[in-house]
Amino acid sequence: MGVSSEKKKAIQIRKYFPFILLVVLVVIFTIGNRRFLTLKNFTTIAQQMVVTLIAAYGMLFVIVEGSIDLSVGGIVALSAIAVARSVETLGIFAVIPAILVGILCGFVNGACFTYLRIPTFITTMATMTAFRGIVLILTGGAQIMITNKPYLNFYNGKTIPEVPNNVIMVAIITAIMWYIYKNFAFAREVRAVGGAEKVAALAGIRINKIKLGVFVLCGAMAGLAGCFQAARSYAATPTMGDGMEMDVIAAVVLGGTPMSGGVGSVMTTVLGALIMCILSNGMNIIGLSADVQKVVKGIILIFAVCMTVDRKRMSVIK
Amino acid sequence: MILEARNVKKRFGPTIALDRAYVQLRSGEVNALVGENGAGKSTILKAIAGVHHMDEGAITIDGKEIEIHSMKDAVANGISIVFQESTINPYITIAENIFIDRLSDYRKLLLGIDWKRLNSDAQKILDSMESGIDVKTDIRDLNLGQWKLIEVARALSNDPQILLLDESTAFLNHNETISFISSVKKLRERGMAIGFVSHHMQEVYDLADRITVMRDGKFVIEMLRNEVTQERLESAMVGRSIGEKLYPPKRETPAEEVVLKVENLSVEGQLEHADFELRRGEILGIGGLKQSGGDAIINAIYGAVPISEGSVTMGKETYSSTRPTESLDRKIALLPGERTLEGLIVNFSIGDNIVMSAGPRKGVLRDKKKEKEMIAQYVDQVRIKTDNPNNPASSLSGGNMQKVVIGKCLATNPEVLLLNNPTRGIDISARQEIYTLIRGLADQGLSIIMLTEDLLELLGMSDRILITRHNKISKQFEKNDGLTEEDVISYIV
Repeated sequence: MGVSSEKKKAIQIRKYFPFILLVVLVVIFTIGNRRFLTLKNFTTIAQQMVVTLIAAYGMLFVIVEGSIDLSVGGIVALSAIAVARSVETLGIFAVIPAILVGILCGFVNGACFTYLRIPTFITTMATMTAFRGIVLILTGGAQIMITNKPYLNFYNGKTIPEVPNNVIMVAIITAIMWYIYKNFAFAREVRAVGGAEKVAALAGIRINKIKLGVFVLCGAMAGLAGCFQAARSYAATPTMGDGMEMDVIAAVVLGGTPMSGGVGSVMTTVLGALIMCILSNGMNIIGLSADVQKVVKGIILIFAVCMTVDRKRMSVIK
Repeated sequence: MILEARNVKKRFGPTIALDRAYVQLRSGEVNALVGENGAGKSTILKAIAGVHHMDEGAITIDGKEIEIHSMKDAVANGISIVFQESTINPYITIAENIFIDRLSDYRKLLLGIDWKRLNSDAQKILDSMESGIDVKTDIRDLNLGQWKLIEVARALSNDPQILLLDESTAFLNHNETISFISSVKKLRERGMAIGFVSHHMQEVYDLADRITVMRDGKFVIEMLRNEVTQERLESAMVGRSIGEKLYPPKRETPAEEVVLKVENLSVEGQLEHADFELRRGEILGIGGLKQSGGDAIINAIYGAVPISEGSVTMGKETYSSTRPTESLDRKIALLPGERTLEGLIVNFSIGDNIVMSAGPRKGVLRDKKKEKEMIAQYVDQVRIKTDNPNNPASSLSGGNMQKVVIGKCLATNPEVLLLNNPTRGIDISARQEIYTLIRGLADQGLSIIMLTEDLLELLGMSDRILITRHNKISKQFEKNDGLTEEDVISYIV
């Protein structure tokens, strides 16, 4: 069929825009400060990416299904508390209660969405507040320090010189998520539900099961992210993960995954998270104030969505 | 005054909606555009009204070419359109609805809207149509026919010379239709040129001065009302010359073994007490008007709508509630009525669509090797014209998209296949292929229920026929040889 050359060009730009943006940012920050383009700084960036990236994989499934989860920050904080409370007895296995807390939170989100039929934007906005409230009740507004050595060494230390453990683990998690997205029947069905719910329902796909599944997965990944976040901060703090949903959603969308559902990929999510983290890191290094950073991030996000997503197809988030 | 649209061409992606279409509209005349679904009637009206941008072609008024790039251009040239779907906002007044696009003309400095002038202008238009509507009435107390008249009033508020009515009566009941038609006649007496699209031939005969027949986006013939006979019109609409060979031969012997039995089946507000049997290897046709119960029958069997009463028996199992997932396990598959909204995901690949229902798996994993085999098998079996099944479904024509949906159904290895208007909006040659395919499946022992709004298709394909009317089965024909449209139509309306 005759696709005009202009159209093709637009598709090409859309596909490669995240790469171009990444290169442009690296060039700008390198000119801004020589310290930016060093191995040491890139190790730091990789470590800063860990939490965002793990949560973004869960978010990827939610967005591909056609929904949104604003409550990931709250789940991260709750699971960090689970870690802090259990780490003295469980050591490195404190990750298990963290994930279980995440699954429970995700289940609440999914159940409100599927069985009470509340749109996810509203559901997760409500649970975002509720989860944060629970965090404040549990901590009484104070932080809980984590001093367990084996846990801190495992999740935030170095076994191999120069390569932090959490970077190695996030690489393994990335490989697993990539495999799940490509090869699991569940992922195929998630794409179908996000592509067109009615078609998927008539094709015999159990819609509610899939929707519940993506929110449980997103919760579990946020729980895992919370475990890494707690190790990085040596504590569970009441404000942990506040505003994190912005970075996580941005990571998914910046890579080119449309909010309308049906398509997406793990590798572009890595790219999106990398852009977000390089942006934060670079702006810090060249000495922009935190207030200016927020403005720049917002502008970049809007600009990037304009460039990458086919907005003709965009519909309201379910 | 004469408006002519010549050689109009319009594509939507790969679909050619209009191809060398022609229509003329004259002052004081109603020109009715007729043709089957997908013939392009609405599309050409929308092209003239500036809703769709024409790819090729020219529009002239009294021989002078005019440029229409938007609805605004059309209005400036005296052309107004009333859409099929309601555009009434029930939360504002009648007058506001009529002047919705020009409320700023009625704004008083700092004092809101000049209600007095707005209402009196609106009432003037409504009176000129002899609509009998009082502008002060709450719009929610009016019926759908009166809402349509308000939409006509909105079109008239632009003071047009040409009025285009796109299936305005589609959602109206009998009485509403009658009063709507009489209002249209009044407008004709005032010298308005009217383009009229309707599926109801009775309205066309009643109202039209001139009839333009379209088929597959092309102009076929234009006739004056007094030259028209029903036969001439119908043969022009369906292209009878191909029509004779369009349908494959039916079963020679009646089917016997009962595969599916429907008893006292009811669906809240859509179907009452349906009883019938489906036998192995036959095509059971269901005819009737849109929403007269046929949709409900097949949707209820499949579990796309809830059964409120009665039961379905398939093999040894009787059920009175089901879901699509369970139906597929029972080996019942559905081809939905809306191809691009219910049948397939257009921006997914052809292959992804085919494996959507019956995607092979190994435990929790996709079995990608078997997926590939399945895709190759059905692309070949239903003859989807593509060089690469990884292309998006949207790259296909309507007919080939429908074959993808059929492939998706067949991949579930069904014994009963439910078809909801399988050839709606599909051109004649692709239709022929789909008919051959469907008949071939029945010959291999698949039992098929085919719902269709197209009478000729119903008569041409079915071994036995059910007719629905007002949510009930009004007639069952046990044999279909020598049945004519006249035999059937009295049970439909």
